[in-house]
Amino acid sequence: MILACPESPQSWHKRPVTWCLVAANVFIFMLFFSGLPDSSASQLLRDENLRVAGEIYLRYEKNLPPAQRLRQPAWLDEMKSGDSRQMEMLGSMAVRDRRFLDFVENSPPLGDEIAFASLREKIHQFRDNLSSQPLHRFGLNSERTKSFAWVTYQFSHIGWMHLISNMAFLLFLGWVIEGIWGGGVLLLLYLTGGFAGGLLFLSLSPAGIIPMVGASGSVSALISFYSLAETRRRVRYYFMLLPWQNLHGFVYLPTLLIWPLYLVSDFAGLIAAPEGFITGVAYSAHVGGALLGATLALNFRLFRQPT
Amino acid sequence: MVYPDPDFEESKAHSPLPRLAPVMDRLLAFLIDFLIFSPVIGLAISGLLKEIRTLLLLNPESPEAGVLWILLVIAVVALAIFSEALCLSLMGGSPGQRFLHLRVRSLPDQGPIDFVQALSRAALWWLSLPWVMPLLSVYTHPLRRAFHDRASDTLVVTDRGVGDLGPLPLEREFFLSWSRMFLILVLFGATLSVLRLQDLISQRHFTQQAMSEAGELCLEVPAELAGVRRLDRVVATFLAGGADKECLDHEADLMLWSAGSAGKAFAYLAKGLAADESDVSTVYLNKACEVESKGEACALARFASSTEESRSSLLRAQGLSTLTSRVLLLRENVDRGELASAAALIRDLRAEKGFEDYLSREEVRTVWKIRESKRQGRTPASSELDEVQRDFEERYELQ
Repeated sequence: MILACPESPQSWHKRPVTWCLVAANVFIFMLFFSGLPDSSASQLLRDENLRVAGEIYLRYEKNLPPAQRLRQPAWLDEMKSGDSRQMEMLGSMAVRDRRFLDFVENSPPLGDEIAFASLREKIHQFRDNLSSQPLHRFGLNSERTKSFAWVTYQFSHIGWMHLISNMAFLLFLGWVIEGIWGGGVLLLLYLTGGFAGGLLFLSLSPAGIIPMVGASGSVSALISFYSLAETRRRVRYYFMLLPWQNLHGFVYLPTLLIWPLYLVSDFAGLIAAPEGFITGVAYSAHVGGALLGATLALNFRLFRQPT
Repeated sequence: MVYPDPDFEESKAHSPLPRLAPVMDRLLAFLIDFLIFSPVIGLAISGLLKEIRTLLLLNPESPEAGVLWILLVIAVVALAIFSEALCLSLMGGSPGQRFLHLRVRSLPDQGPIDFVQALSRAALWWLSLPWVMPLLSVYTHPLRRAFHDRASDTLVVTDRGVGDLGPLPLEREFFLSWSRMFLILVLFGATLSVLRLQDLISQRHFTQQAMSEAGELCLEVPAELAGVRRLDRVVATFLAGGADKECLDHEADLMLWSAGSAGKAFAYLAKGLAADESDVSTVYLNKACEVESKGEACALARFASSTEESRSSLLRAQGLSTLTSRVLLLRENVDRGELASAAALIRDLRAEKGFEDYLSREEVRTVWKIRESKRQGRTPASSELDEVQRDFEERYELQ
């Protein structure tokens, strides 16, 4: 195990913006997201509904305009109607597509008309319930692109582990960035990084209905900016091979090392994700934030006064 | 005068011993290298990984995915060996080693190593990895040289002031005994693997695979049958107890989602019969009549929904052209005591394959009812029923 570890964390009052950002994330999570009941999608995601959705999607996809069909994953052509496993898989992708849900709600019945009607009713319930859920109100998706979702999604998290992992990075990176360049730069990086992450996310899934939440895009921007803007510094890491003497401690490594340690895997995850499938981690948001951070860092290095 | 031997190099004979790298430093360096190289190599192979994941999503038992997995492993190992060799030859150590002031030196001259030497060292490290013991010899060798160090004539040293003093006697003893235990475990594991392999290549495994390749269709029904005839046979086989609900439901789905409207009424009937919940079943049976109100599927649906004694007339009115209606009517006739009709249906259904068990059961029930009726004097003598009974008794050698 190896983790970045800030020095002198006890001097909290020297990093007000960092602590405010962390507090805002935690507060919003405690207020809106902790203790959420089971998602309304659970009924929709049952196997029999997914099979029906998959069968419908196979027919829906064949009737798409050519320009839209070109953006569809190549493996769709290999899907076989009647193969339950493939149809369930296709259905799980289909129910996350806003255009497909619109099609089911407005199209005449296809195939098994009773199952079709049942699916239509469940989709209707799902969409009604979705709009009342905090995830949908604060998250960013293709239906909410002209609202405060661009900002609120950066302060929303779906679970404790999601929150803790992002806040650990925010605390460390915010600490060093605010210490070097001030709270204004930190806030600017956080918000623009989140914006860039959201932009890339929506460009890669333009019809996705599942909202994205989390500070990962913002944090990736901070990581990327710091590692490229200050390559001469060293970062303190805490390592532990075993909890015995001499087998754990601190080691100082160059800032550029942050890229392979924390950001390269996001690029790999984005490229390795099968087309059309949602992996649970919005790699595109991480990559978008990282690219923005890298761009700002390189510009910073180009235009800063030599000391 | 004695001339000095030109092969004897005085400087090397008296060169000072290097400061050996502590084992924990090497372990930490390995950890840092792993954290650096694994995402980088992951990025390099991400395209291949995407292809594999897509193939596995489409078909978990895809042979192409299996081949690609092997290629992936080879690619990862090759990239790791190459990148390590590059770092060793250019920097004198991997990034983790350099951060911790370690260097890899060539023996005996303690100079820098070249690319070929670095490549062999990295390859031998990977070769030793599955066996573990060759790597653990770093705890027993006086110069902390594992197998890959000795085979490539290299040594890991530190630039720091204090180096490792070499293994303690207890340390050496502990790892020698541990390596003996490990050898026993490896032999045991190898034996188990061979036995498992034998099981995998046995006929039983291939039979199971062949069944899974057939998909979710009802295997009891001949593959050459198609359309409504196939569905009729599937439903009849299900009612006779020869097929399960899952394959019936699947066959009905295939019919419903195929192009064209022929057979949809029968498919709704099948869905109604396969449904677990009665309200869902009722909806599907009603739908069969909605699609084709005058067809045999609707008659069968009404029959299935009705509990009246005269419901068999619903089937007779349609002419009993489907196998399903004859199977249902046979059971109904036996239940209602219409034994002559039941006997005629049994004779008729004997021509169909796959119903032997069902017909045997119904025949036993029919004969039992004939005998009971005769015993109680309720049924007038009928030559046809007598013949059925006699034929049954002769076949099973009953008195």
